[in-house]
Amino acid sequence: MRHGPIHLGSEEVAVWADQITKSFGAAQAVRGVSLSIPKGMIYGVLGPNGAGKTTTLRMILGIIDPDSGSRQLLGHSRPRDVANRCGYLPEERGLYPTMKAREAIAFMGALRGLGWAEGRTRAGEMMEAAGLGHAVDKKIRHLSKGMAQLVQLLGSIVHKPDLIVLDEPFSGLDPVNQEHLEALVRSEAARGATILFSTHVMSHAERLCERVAIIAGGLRRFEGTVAEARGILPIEAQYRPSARAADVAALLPEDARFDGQCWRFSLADEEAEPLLLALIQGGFGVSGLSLQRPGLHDAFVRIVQDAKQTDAQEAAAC
Amino acid sequence: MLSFWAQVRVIAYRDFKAIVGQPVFLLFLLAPLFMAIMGLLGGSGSQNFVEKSGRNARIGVLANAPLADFYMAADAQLRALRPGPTAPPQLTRIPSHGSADAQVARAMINTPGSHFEAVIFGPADAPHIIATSKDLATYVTAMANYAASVRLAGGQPKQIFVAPHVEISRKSGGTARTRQAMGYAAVVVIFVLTLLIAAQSISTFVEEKSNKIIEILASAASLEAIFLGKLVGMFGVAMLFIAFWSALLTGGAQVLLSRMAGDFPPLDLAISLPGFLALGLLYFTMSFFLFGAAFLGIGSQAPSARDIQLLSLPISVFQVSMFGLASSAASQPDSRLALFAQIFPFSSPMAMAARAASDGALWPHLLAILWQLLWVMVIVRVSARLFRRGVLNASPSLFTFFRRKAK
Ligand SMILES: Nc1ncnc2c1ncn2[C@@H]1O[C@H](COP(=O)(O)OP(=O)(O)OP(=O)(O)O)[C@@H](O)[C@H]1O
Ligand SMILES: [Mg+2]
Repeated sequence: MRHGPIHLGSEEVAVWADQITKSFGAAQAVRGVSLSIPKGMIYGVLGPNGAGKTTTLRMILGIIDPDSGSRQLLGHSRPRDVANRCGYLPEERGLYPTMKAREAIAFMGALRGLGWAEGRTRAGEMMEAAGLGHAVDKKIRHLSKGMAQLVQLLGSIVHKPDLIVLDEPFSGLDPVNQEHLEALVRSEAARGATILFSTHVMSHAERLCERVAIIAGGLRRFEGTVAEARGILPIEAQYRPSARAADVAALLPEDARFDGQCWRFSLADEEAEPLLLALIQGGFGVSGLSLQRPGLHDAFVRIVQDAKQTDAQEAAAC
Repeated sequence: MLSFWAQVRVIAYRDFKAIVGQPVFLLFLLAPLFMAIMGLLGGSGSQNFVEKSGRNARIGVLANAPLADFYMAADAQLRALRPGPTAPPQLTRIPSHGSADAQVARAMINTPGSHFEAVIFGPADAPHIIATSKDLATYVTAMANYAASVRLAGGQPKQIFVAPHVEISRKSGGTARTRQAMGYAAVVVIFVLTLLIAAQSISTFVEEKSNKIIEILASAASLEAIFLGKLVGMFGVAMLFIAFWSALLTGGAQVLLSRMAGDFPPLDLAISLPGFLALGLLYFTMSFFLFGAAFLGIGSQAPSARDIQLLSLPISVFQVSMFGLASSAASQPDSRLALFAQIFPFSSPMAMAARAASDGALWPHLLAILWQLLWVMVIVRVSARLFRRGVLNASPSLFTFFRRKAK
């Protein structure tokens, strides 16, 4: 086993993966992804379709084994040893259609070591809290898709796991239920659970995650806080001088364009303050100024585009 | 990690409840009953028919007095010897038509809807009998002879017959044959039960796959536990089925035995009947797990229900050939073929159950059960491997490989 940054048995890092890879036949789904997720964190794995998110999560949970690389889950190198302390919502949702909602949740708990009776009790309480009290004794096939998904989600956390892995948990939910789910994720984190989820909807990641990893083409292209991700793109500035608008160009960055009223240009974080000072000292005045930081969405698109370019160049070089 | 067997239990419990909870299960449980009822209805229907035609049936006496009177008197005497359901049809007198009697007699029998089952005609010392059954011909012959002897004795009918007490007995020395028959019966019962229940396990994974549940199961439990859980759940269903029917049949057998005591040959087995049944149950268990595990493994390779249908033919052929092997072993208990059938893993449970009927030694059974247990474990393991490779890792499975080749 490779020497890693943590020792076996360490509980400080909930999920640790070192250069894990996976191929399906000739296709490389994951070409080398490393993750290190501290205990108690809400962590997002972002990436476009086919990036390898699901495959990465499945390897972390031990549903499939990586071709190479190593991983640790809650301090154990065999993920199945801690299966009872994990909860998992697969990307492809599935429940037994003829099972009642309460039984389905209790069953998922029982699979992870929770007693049936306790599972049934908790299932009732959790469904009540999630606004699904009326559906407790309904069969799964009589629930709507979103309701069934919520039931499955509850089933994956009914045993109060230390690590919760959710693959695209928000897809298929209406906005109200998406908010419910966000609240649920926060309350699970408050309980002390580590939450790892994948998504390609940036707004959820932006609101929930302390850190994110962006995967594209089977490689990790970014790892850091949401703010750091957004910091990849320059600030977009709009500036309206109060005097001598035409002469200001010399002070502005090269990409500055004047549209008759405003100058538009982009700025790195550290350039903003000196520029403002220079403008005022130069006597141009400020009648309007807006500095807009691009969202995670734009950062994501940029990172993925860059990744594609790099891959294409690599392919051409070969 | 939840212990292996606890996971097996959770999955088995879920499967058992799901199967038993279906309304369709009642149909499955009662299927033999429906078959029996159909059989009974058919049987009692034909019996009714016999009785009806029996009640209306007639023996025609195509003769004039006094010969006809002698026949009637003889019939009255003989009839007393065959009471109840074995009583022959009543006599009906019809005036003789002289030389046309033969033609008339044939017409009486052959006319559609006619009630005449036998006709006697012709001269007293050389009567002619036409009958629809040997039994009836024998009766009418006896009646004609009795009538002739009474007539020759001067017309005085006398009580000259006795009604002996009759006992029907089977020849002794049939032991080997009954033992073979019992062995064969064991093979059949195990085969049918295995066929009925283990074959279901083929399709059970398709449910999980089509409902995407396998991912949840596989993230929580090892595939071996999932496999075994499904087998054990199905086995629970089988046990319920067996318990239900043995309770019903024991009750039924008691009623039957008390009714027709003596008509059954004594069950002469090499070991005691409870021992035989216990071994039979044990071997059914083995057979179930062997075939069930194999089917589960093969079924897991099939991507859809359609492919399952594709698979079921070769599987049935295999199962029937194992049955053939075991049943020919049952008919020649000491042959090499029997030994082979007892050793070959898939026919071993059936063949060994048959052996229990004719061989009293217990140690071969212990050996065979250990041997079969080994194979159950091997097959569960191999199947789980197959499954892991075929479904979760999605590398081309054996099945898709074959299909591609077939195209
Ligand atoms: N079982 C499989 N068999 C063959 N190829 C697979 C399998 N699973 C994934 N792949 C391939 O691996 C790559 C990564 O797939 P993966 O499902 O991990 O992507 P993802 O990031 O989860 O995408 P999405 O956002 O669409 O869910 C894809 O190109 C996919 O075609
Ligand atoms: Mg995915």
